[in-house]
Amino acid sequence: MSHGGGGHAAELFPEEQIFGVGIGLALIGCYLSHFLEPYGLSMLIGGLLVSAACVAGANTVRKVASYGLGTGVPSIGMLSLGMGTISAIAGVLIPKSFGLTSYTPYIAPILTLIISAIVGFIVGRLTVNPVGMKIPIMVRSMTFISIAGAMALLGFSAAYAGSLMPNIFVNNALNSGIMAVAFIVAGIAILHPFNACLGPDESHKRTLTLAVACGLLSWFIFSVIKLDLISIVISIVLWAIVYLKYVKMSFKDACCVLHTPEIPKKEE
Amino acid sequence: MNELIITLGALALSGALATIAGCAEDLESDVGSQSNPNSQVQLAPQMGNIHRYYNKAISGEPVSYGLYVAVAGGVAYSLMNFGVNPILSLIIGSGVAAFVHGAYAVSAYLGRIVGQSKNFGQPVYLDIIMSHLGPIVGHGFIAVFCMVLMAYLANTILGNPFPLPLIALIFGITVGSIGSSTGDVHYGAEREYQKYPFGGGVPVANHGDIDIKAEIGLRNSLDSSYFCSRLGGVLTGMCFGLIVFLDGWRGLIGNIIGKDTYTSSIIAIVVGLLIIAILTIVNRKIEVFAREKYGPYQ
Repeated sequence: MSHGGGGHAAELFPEEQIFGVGIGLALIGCYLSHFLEPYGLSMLIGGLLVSAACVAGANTVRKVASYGLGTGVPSIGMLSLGMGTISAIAGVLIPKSFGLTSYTPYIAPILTLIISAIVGFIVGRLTVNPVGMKIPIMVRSMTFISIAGAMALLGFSAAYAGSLMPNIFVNNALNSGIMAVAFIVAGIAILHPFNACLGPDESHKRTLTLAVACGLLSWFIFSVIKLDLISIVISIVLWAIVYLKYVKMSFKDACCVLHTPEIPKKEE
Repeated sequence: MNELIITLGALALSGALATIAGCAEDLESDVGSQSNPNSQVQLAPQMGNIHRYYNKAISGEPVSYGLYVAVAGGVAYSLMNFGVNPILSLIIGSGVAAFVHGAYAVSAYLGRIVGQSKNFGQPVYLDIIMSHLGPIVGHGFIAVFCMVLMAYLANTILGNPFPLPLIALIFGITVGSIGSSTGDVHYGAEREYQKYPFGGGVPVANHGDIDIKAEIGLRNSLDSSYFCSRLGGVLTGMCFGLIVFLDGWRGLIGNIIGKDTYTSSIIAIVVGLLIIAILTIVNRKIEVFAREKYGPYQ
């Protein structure tokens, strides 16, 4: 609690709503990053939609971390992507081991979602029972966070690899190490918004705006890694618009914005 | 023999790069008051101390450096596959990482300050953002470039089997951990609680009561970086450089003396244990010397 976490600010939208929309968009993004690759739109459309998973994850982190996690906020973001990595790799490779290799692009995203929900639920139960964290929404939040991490990781890796076929996906995303970049980039995009904005005056609108900016920044990073010029330009422009909105919102919400080294006089 | 000399050279260069990276990383985290000192900076306004420190709560140092170096490694990897010159790719990758670093640094400052601005009267200082962003991104660029170049050397010359982005991620986490564990010791109670007697620790009642005045004027985080550049940053660099150099040297000795994998591994382990024993004795001597010279701990 040393970070002054805690205190539920009013919610702009209910958590389930943001989560549902975010994961839905990311799921569509995973499919599109496979099926739009022949048209060269894998990163442009797939990457954009997948960044919604980061927003959904960041919003859930806000909800669970306002129970006073404090320094645990970064840890929960890393945990999210840890669960997500297992689920995403399992989701792509399990159909292959059942001899359904040619159907993998249709099965993998849904399977990843289901596996990540199961992994998240188990980890959530473990944090409640042997570990003993007394947060009432822990199991639900862990499940949500695991799903968000898995969708973000699978989506960004698929958008980079341009395919969900196991041999291409493993070769392009896993063996090249780009999945490690997806792990940390999506992880920071999920943990950073609330970690940055926490405090007694935290507002959902500001945190959500920053979450969108972080999601777009992740998309920008992957556009650069894929060397997709159109995606780079569009992602950086969209990011700049949202980020400036966040900066302006912060200036408006501050008690005062000063340009000189002076301490304001206290009003007694 | 020729290959051995190149390996030795790469190892020496890695040690030098690690030294520079560790130093730059620690100074960068001090400019932003990241990691351990951050909780006190965060607490200060709630205790009535309106401050001009930079509050860069991106996340812990290991995680955030993992991000920058992994981004640099990922971009460099794809540029190299595209056919760009390796050194140029590494520089461009570090540039993209520096941009990402700057973006997260500003959002972290604004978020944390505004998050307790209205209740506790902490203003947003625009001049702090403007003056601190350069040193943060600049030091970060130096650290990230050194680490990603080290990852490249490990991948191409030293025979590390993992792909460049993954090595970059692991090296980034490593440099962040070293900066956090070694560097933060030199920027804590001595700097933020300078008005209290030295060596007394920080009782819970004093938490958040940090110094807000500098030698001249109001203190900002650049003063902390200046203070730490004398010992803290240098020691962090030396610590990381020694870790990389001694660890690589240990393996190399094993490879030279040993005849097969089995004997060379045994020799490497024995040399490692020997190094640990020597360092333990030296550390103990230094501690006893310091205790006798500067008085007992109370």
